[in-house]
Amino acid sequence: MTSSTWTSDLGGRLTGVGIDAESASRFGPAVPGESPLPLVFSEREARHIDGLPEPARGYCAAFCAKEAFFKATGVPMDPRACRLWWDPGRETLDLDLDDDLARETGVARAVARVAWDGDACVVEVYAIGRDA
Amino acid sequence: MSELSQETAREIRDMVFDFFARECDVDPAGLTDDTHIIEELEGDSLMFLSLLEKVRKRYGIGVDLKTLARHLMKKPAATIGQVVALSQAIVRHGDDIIHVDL
Repeated sequence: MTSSTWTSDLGGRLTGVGIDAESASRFGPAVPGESPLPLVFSEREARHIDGLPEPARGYCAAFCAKEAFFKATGVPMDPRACRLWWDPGRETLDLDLDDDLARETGVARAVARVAWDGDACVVEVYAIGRDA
Repeated sequence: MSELSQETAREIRDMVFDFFARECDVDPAGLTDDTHIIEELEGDSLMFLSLLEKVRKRYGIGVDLKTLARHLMKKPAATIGQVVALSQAIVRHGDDIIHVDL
């Protein structure tokens, strides 16, 4: 049997890791009435992302971060309760969690690492426990 | 809770089949209730959300995503037939879908 211990410099106990990948091209103009973005993003998030130089990449990174967070924590997806204020100049950012979601998941801090390979975005989310 | 008319149930079924045929660029005649959306069509959550938005818009319903996610954790919808049943249940029950055993 093999065991391993994870350590990190994130300042707490790692309680979960999630990963998600998407292509930014899927977040461009959609068939009218079929864009899932209003289901996933609040108006405030949409305003932030629409103000970025490449909004499709912003929607893609933020969507992947939401998916990865819920994979990391295993709770039902509630995409508007978890936000990534993506800044294309940064590789690592903290997720912004609603208080209810932080309580439900026991997560004090969630860190997203965003990587790109051309059009493809991969986001890893590291969930740090509240009791650390 | 109202029953769905046969016409509405059929319309939702056709909508789901047409959606996946177009999104996945496959011949609709090749799709069946048993077609597995992830394994055979390479479908994903973004595609499902697009379909959900289409259903919401078409029937003017509001279903909370968290409620739906809770339902799907108990009862995943993996095949086209299961997504048809789920879509019909969403139109019929809205947020009460959490109490529905499909």
